Amino acid sequence: MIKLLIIDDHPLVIDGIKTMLKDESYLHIEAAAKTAKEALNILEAGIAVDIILLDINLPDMDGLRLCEIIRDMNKTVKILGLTYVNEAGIITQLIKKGANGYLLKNMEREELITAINQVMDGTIYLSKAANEKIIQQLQSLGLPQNNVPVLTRREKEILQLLSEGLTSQEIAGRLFLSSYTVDTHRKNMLQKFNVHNTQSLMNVVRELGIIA
Amino acid sequence: MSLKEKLTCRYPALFLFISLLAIKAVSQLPQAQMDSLARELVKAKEDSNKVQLLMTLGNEAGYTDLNKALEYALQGYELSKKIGYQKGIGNLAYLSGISYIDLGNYALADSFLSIAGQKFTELNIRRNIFKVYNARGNSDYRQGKYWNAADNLTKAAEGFDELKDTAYSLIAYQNLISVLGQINNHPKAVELGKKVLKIAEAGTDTLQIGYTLQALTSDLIHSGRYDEAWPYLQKLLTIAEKTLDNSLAAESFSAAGAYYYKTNDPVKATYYFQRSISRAEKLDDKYQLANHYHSLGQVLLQQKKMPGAKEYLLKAMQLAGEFNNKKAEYNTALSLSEYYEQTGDYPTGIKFLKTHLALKDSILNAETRNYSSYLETRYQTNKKENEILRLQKIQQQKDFAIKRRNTWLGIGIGLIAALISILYLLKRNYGHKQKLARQQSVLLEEKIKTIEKEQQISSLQSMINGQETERTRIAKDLHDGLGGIFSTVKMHYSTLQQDTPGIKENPLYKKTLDLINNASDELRKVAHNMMPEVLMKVGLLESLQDLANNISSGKLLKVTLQAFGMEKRLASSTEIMLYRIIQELVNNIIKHAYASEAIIQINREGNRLSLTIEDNGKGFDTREAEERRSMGMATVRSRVDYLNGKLTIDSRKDIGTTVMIDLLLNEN
Repeated sequence: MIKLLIIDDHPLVIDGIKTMLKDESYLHIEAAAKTAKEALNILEAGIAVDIILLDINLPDMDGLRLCEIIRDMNKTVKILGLTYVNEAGIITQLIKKGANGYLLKNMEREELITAINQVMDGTIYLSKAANEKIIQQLQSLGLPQNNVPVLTRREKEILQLLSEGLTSQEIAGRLFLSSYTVDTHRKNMLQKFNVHNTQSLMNVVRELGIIA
Repeated sequence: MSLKEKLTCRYPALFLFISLLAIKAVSQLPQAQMDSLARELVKAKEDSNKVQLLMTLGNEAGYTDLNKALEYALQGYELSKKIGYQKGIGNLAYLSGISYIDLGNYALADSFLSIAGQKFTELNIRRNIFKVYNARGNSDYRQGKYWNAADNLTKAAEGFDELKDTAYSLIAYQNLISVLGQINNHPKAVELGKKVLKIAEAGTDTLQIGYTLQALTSDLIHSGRYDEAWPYLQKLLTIAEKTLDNSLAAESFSAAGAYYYKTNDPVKATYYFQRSISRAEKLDDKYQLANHYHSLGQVLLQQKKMPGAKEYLLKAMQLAGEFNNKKAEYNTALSLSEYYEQTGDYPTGIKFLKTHLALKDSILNAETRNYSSYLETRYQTNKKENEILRLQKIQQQKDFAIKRRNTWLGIGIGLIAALISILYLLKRNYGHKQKLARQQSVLLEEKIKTIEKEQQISSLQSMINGQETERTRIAKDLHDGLGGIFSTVKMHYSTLQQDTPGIKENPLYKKTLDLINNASDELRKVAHNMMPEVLMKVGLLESLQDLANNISSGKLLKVTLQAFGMEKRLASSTEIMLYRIIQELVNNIIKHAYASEAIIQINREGNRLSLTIEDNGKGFDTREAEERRSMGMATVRSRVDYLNGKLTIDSRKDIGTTVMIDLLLNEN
């Protein structure tokens, strides 16, 4: 017998989940909570549950935060995040905060049952749509290889002219920019390469072979 | 006493902008002496002595008759040019410049002050260079460019300090105090004013003491510290009764009027405002007169003396308009709307209320623009300047902007409330599911567009703020309300398969399931565009990463995100604003640039934040783009304004476009 706690502020959703699980006799809905406070009361009262279906949009607390609190209280209970949104940033945060899986709320019956079973077996479950998002994010991660910052086209041009010994003002004239803009680009580059003056910047970029 | 001695024993005139008049160490010349100088002028030869004479006359006339002063100044300037007298060119250009300021012609004032500044720099007359800064501060102040004013005055004050010239630095500090008063930093102004008063009282210059007392009294009254103001006011009035300086007298009587107005003694207030008007009329300073007329009109209105109130308020309105005194126009419009309301002429009342609102917007917009131009000038002209001072000023400016914004919020809320009710009704009707969800977003966009246009009169800033709050709310309602129902429908529906064997084979079952899925996806998209959940819950960078991923996964445009110094989250309103700006700029790239790659880069160092968005697309002519500004770019601009930032678009045909936005954050 697997005991469930459903946390969702929408009574209809709780109802829907009950409907989906009515034929699975080994799954028992032990309790349902409509707010984070109710949920914490239930858990603090010592009502034992095996798996928590947690909606991350609750009226009284951010679901991500609640997930973290529950995980602090109880290391073994399984937590399956439920949300209506499918954004990679949210999914990764949820897993970081200790959830064992993530389901989109418009799941079908089979998916819910699969998810519960998988999570109870100790694996992480991500809904199919969520999986795609995560893979997308991994594929296009902004950070370039070797952690060498990417230079914008304007930055490269300014760097080139700096290396020829031109001042900000001269560069501004050459590129038809205001010297204020040139200087902002320069400052941005100093920060990117974590150096404090133009000379050190030139040394670093030469070392990295960015300019000759 | 020869003419030469006369010139050396007195300070050359330095005009104080609130009063328009010079402050000198010695008292003004009596009328008889003025007349004799004027006679001397008729006989004088065309040489540098005549230039000096014209300068003296111009300075002296500046106390009593501005048009006369300008006439002498211009005459002296022309003569100096004719005889090639370099110092004279500088001095008389300066005198012409300050006369034009007093007469409200800032463009001409600016050209003359530039000439003067250049001459003084060539001749290396440092004291006069700082006087030009002081005059520029005066001009900025009158045009409502308080940030530029503060900057110029600080330069003047510091310069005079460096020259150990207490008398002049006092004037510059006094002016700075007035600027502080304008940006409603009265406590700071009072603090500085008390210090300056101590220094002034150590000297013997009654005018100097008078001006200091006048500023201090006004600031105290503005801060509501009436008891504290009282002893200063008494001293001030003693000076005002005796002085020949019409401007000081007018301002002092006006301060007394304000004191009695605020302490509910309308009879005395009327008396003093009338006296301030009579002195200001002698001086013929129409800019200040508008303020005085308004004050009197307001007091009369308070006493229900309707004909008098109307007369003065209308006079004030007319002068304020003619002499470009925006603040007076703005205040007077409000008083006039009250007047017409009380006399039962509601349409005219509403007309003036609208004028009042329109001015509020233009004053606010002008301030935002001024601030941006100030940032640029400041950067170029004075890189070495002390960072702390700059940050302090920015802080004050933000406080100022926030105060302004708050007043506007009230007006924004009314319109937004209407918007909320429309959306609420729509949302209740969710039977139309997907179609409705789409319509809702279209309608919201439409509604926002319409309101944005209507609100060109009203404030853009409160609008943006309200928009985001509303978007957040709607997105949340969509998720929690409609989203929950969709999910439940799907849950029940998928359980049907289990309960009713064979239903899966029914094509209608499959079709309906697909439709439910579509509707649900559509709703999610709408809500996401409305306000990405990740932006609220996790942060700007993660939401931008999502944005970049979503676009890159389409394979047409590869978007790279780079961020430096962004470990800490920003204020959530700033994050939303930046997200919207980036979203719009990236959308522009997708729609118009035909680019294959784009970079979003954010650099934060302390409170400096720089945003760079670059593509390798077809580029465009920035001047052309300026002319046919797209709606999208206009929103970007207004959002950048909202953040007090500076937007630079740098585009080259067939190479690409670099958009850069710089701003100073108001957080720790």
